[in-house]
Amino acid sequence: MNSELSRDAVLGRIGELPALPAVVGDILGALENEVEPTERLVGRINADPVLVARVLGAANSASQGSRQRIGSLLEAITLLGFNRVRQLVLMTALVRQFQPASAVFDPTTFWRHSFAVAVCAAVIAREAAMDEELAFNAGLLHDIGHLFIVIAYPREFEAILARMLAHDTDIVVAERAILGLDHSQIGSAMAEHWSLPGAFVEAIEGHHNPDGRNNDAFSNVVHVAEILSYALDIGTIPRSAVPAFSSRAQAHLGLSWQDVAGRFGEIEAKYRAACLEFGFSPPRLSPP
Amino acid sequence: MKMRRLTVPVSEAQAGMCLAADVRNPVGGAVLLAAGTELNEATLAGLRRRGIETVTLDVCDTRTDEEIARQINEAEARISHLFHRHRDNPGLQDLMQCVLDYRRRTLA
Repeated sequence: MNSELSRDAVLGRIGELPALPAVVGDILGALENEVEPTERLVGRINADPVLVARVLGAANSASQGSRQRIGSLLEAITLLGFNRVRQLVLMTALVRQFQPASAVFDPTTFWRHSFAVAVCAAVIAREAAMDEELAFNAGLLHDIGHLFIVIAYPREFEAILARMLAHDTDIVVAERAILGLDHSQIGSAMAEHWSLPGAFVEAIEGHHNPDGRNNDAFSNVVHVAEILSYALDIGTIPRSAVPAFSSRAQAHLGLSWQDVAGRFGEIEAKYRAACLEFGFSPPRLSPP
Repeated sequence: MKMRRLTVPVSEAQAGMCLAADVRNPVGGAVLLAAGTELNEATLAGLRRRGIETVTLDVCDTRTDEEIARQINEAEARISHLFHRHRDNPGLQDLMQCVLDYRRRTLA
């Protein structure tokens, strides 16, 4: 096995990835342009029965207790609001598209972690008076580089995990040793390849190394959100540990941990709701 | 009857449970339901329709003192593991203390 692959060789294979669903590109692109392409979005959702079912299911849960059955997407949007519908569609489309199977990679664990960081990112963004939806989506996407490594370099991925365990180190350290670059660099190249807005490219690239960026605000949010998700033990597995932390990123947001401590219960409950929504076994309400 | 305070998704709240904190409208922040209100099917339906995602409740606590002590011990051990690489990082020690306080408060 190559102990270090060239950056160009790795990034040159990004085209082998499954395409990003069109509806995902629409939703993420619309945030930056602040244009609401309602008709196009409704058309895209309506063309996809799985997305329609998810949105109608959520709308009918929300209207439970009233006589009214929600039967159309427009009724569902009126009830749930555009933000919630966009969020549901984005999560559903991403989770469905990226389920790489491997003996050492569990897609459910991956997506639970992504949900956990997304929920933390939205709460931190609110406290820092930043765009909550953009923060949530950046959290959802922050680790997409892992998907590429699992798909394109399955043997190297096993070696990365083995090295991480043997050295009790962060995964990025093991990735740099084995691949020559880490999942945040790969993820940002994927975001560029998919023509996602620059805010996502930067947030993904900087989430493990926010000090390397020019104080990119959403890198800071995702970085702090990921630390918080590990601290609260949401989206984690038994061997998880809090990764390296940049106090500078936190200082740039102007938030202390005490500022977000009052929101820990809300974060846990929102993470639990997302797991329930997607049929991922939710955490117990209290440890066993 | 001993009570405990839990924040849960609205989908898991049930009629008969009591709110431990005000529920505010996410838009505007007006109080929709005050702390102490006992939830019923109509108020629960109202919360779901308004897009309220979580509520903080006072619920009956059926745990024995031994179970509570064991849960707190396990939570402390888990936190100690999660932070084991950062014993000398002041920023993360600060976060660890916030999480410890939160666990002790919500599990007690």
